[in-house]
Amino acid sequence: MQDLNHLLTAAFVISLLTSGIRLAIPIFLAALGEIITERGGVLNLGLEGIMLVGALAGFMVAYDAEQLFAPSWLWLTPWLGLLAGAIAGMGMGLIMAVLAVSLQTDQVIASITLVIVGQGATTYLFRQQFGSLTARIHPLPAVPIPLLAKLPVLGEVFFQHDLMTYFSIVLLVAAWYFLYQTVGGLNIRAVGEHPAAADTSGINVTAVRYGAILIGAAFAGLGGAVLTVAQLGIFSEGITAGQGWIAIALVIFARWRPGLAFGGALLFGLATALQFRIQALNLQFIPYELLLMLPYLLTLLVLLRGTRRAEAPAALGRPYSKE
Amino acid sequence: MNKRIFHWAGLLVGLLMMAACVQPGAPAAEATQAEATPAAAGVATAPSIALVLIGPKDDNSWAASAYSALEAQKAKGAKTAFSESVSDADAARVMREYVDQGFNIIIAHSFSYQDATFEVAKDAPKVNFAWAGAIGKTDKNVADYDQPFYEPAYLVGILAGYVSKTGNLGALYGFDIPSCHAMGEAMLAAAKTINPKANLTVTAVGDWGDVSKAKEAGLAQHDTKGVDFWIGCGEGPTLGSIEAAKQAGGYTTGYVGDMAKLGPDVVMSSIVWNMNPIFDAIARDTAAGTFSGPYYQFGVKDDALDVVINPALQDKVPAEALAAIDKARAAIKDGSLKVPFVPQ
Repeated sequence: MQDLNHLLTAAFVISLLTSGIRLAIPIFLAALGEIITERGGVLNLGLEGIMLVGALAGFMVAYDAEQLFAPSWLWLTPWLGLLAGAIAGMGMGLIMAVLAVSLQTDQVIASITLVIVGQGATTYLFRQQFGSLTARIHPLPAVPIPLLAKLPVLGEVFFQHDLMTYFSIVLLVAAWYFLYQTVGGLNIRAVGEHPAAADTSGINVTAVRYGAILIGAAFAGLGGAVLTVAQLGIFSEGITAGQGWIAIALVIFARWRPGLAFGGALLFGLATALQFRIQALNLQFIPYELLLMLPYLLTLLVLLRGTRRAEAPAALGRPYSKE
Repeated sequence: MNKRIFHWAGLLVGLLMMAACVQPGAPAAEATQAEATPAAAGVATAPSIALVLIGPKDDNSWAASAYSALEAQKAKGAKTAFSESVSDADAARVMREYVDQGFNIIIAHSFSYQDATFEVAKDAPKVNFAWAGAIGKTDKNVADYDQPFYEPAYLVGILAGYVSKTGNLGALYGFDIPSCHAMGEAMLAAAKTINPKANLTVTAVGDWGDVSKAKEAGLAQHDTKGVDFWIGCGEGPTLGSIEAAKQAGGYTTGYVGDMAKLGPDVVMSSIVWNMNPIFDAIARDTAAGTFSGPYYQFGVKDDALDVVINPALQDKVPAEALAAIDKARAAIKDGSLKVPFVPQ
């Protein structure tokens, strides 16, 4: 029982929340991108492959930049890596857009091809370039926000992360604003609900869907790069370990809403961090297999509430042709 | 409405199946490389060995141990071939191809190849097989080989007893399986002989390849229990423990391969697996025609398993620790010390 008291100390809560936030960010970014893509009516199941490609591209660019740059410019290298991850993600997105929009192939099959391509290509390229696991880069340092970081508990939990974590919040707000407050976002949602009607009102469905896929894939690539460049500083084959699939499930349970996806990702990260801590405290009465299920169960239960009405974009997964 | 429900239900089922199939690595067909070397003249019984690997041969760990033993056989004149990153579903096909190519030894280096190995072995009675079962399950032409990693884990525990400032040791497993569990317990048993207050915190990461989760699990052990010395079982958990040790401070242990280069400042020692005794025995028994499905059991006493200290951290290791490790190693070899095996 002495161990249970552990659960309530400030240090425990701080370490729990910071760990949960770290675990949530890559999944959240991928899910946010997928929301934009699916709002445009395109189902892209290839996130796992796109994240992997983003993870490797980011790692390779950051690694090479570290070798080339003078010490005074080294702060720039992780950012170049993150940018490269997003661009590489867009490259994968372009494949998806050509297959799904221009060629009008089945979106499920086209996007699953991306997963296989991503796994094969990253494995091949990583071995080609590095051979073994010894390559390391310097991850993004934590940047305490002045004044706010000094707040008790809150400061340590929310204001002592790397800059990419804060930037993810900016991206959440930006994505929400884009989807709901701009013409571009309105066009994407229109194309996802009723492409024929959007077409007759002068929206170029093909162009809008290309855009939705490319933006979404850039987010997923960025999510992968956050894992390798911002957080771990290493790449290993299959490093995303299924996070792309979790992001897709999250989109459905979050009912295609950016805010809910953020909450869901955070919940998932926190539950993962919590179950690790419960395991460490060795509370014998809970089998560890149950604890490993906790993040999935909890996220499912919380987000499943009230999904009675299907809220999927009406034209999701259907190719559009003018006939 | 009904249609839509079916649509989503189907999608979710598909997703789950995909998630279950996610396997890092390229399909075997592309990775298969036959490295045929001309058989040395006059050595009619020279073994020809094919190795099937679950991961990449350069993993600094499990697969690399077997690959380097294969290279040693090649240097001795054996014809060799290998396939990397072969999924369980594909293992039987890959093995049948090697049977067709006339290899007389096929080594299936994964526990998960069990079904495939026994299935193919039944159809190819003249070919000798070995699989990484470590449970003593054999057949007329199928050998099993033991992996008593808990023995070197005991030697790591001595180091932990001297080096850990808090006495709080941590173990990260992919899942809490017997071979992993025994490693943590052996480490703890040894640490207690040095520091009676030593204790062990165990976490199952829930994945053998997820470095990010494993790192967070290691940090959780540090934050809640003050763990400052880790051992990992599995690639992901070990890589995660390296990153956790870097961030939180402390030392960790390389798993089935010298991992000093992966964390020069934190990987204090590594458990290394010399598979040459196993490969030698298989080749010898095959050449002599005496192969009858043995269970090869090589451990610390056979120089098959050992612990190596990271040269970059040599000055952080007390001299008494090195002496105590040497003493324990000698005691295991002469039989006076039996490392406790605690599988659950």
